[in-house]
Amino acid sequence: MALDVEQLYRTYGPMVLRRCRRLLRDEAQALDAMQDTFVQVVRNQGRLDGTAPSSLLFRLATNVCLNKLRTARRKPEDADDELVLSIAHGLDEDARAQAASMLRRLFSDAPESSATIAVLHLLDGMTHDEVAAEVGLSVSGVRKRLRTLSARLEKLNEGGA
Amino acid sequence: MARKEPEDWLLERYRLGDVTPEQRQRVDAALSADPTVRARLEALEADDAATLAAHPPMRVAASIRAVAAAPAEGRRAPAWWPVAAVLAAGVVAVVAWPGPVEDDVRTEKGAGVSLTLFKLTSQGPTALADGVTVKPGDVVQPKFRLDESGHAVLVSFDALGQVTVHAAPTQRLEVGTVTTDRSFELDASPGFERFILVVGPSPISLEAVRARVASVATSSDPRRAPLGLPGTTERSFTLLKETP
Repeated sequence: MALDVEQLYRTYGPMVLRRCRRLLRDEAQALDAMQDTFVQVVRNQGRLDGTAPSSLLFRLATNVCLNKLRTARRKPEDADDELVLSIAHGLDEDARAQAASMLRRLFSDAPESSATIAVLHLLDGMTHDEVAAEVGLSVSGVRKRLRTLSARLEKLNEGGA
Repeated sequence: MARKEPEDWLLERYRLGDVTPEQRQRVDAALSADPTVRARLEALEADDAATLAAHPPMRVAASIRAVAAAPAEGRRAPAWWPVAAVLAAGVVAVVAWPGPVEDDVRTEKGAGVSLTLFKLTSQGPTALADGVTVKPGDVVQPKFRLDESGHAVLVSFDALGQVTVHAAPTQRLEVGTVTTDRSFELDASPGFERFILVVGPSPISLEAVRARVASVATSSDPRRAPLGLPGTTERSFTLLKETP
């Protein structure tokens, strides 16, 4: 059955746009990211069966925004913004490879990117258990990813100090 | 450790009915105990309504389908694309849409500079002809091509003199086709929407372009008069507005 894009947007579009606004802090970019998110869903609609749309769209929007932020050159507006930008840029080494396989991961059971895991935990306040349930990893797997991220961010901060 | 009030993501999913029984119980308890949680939910509802009013589902869905159906090659605009497009009354930014890539770059200086506009429909992009009549609500997207590395500014203005900056990248651009990262819904302002691409070997002052546009817009021939900025090449593309 063809995906009802209009209904999907009507139901989830505002949520996705709010997500993009929070991460990007720019209305025009947020609108772009929102559309990118739904475009990717449309292109992969055959794999949507059995997934929770709000969770999938939330993570997909997060990935889209992080990819946009990796090319952004701006000063953070506040602590949350600084955190997101640090995550986006701090994991830049992995970003290219991760971006290439992002869709495959999001539309399958493969593990989520470290950057998304970091945002879910550090910005959104999800517990390790919640992040694990969200991205399909074990709790220990989530902790391991976060430890790796912390080390990289510390290194990044030291380099920038 | 006791958790504080429900996080934003949890409230979003609560509203969408996409929570576990435990999560629902947690939000229900918070709603009973804390009126600010109810206020947050109501704010989300209000924001939903505002978003759907500003970006109507039928229009957005058509754009999403069109982009999703576009060929993969040349899908995205370069990462340098300016995010601070200045929006005015004449056109309203709605979506990004990837235009097809042209590969017939000419070698004669200036001759290969081109500006094209596409109309975006649910069936895909359709190239428009200069001077064609369009309707309010039509979604269009500009694309331009440089025949040599240089700088570019793309603006448009309507019959009321409202100016929209579509692109003013600070970096030097490489030869080739550039699809803007945004399409625009034409509003009901009367007369026309004229797009002007200015390219040159040196950085182009946006303020100088604006000043020249202001002069042209009030001239006797606002649809055709050139901006005439020294040392630049320009291309013009005018869409006539159908009277509602």
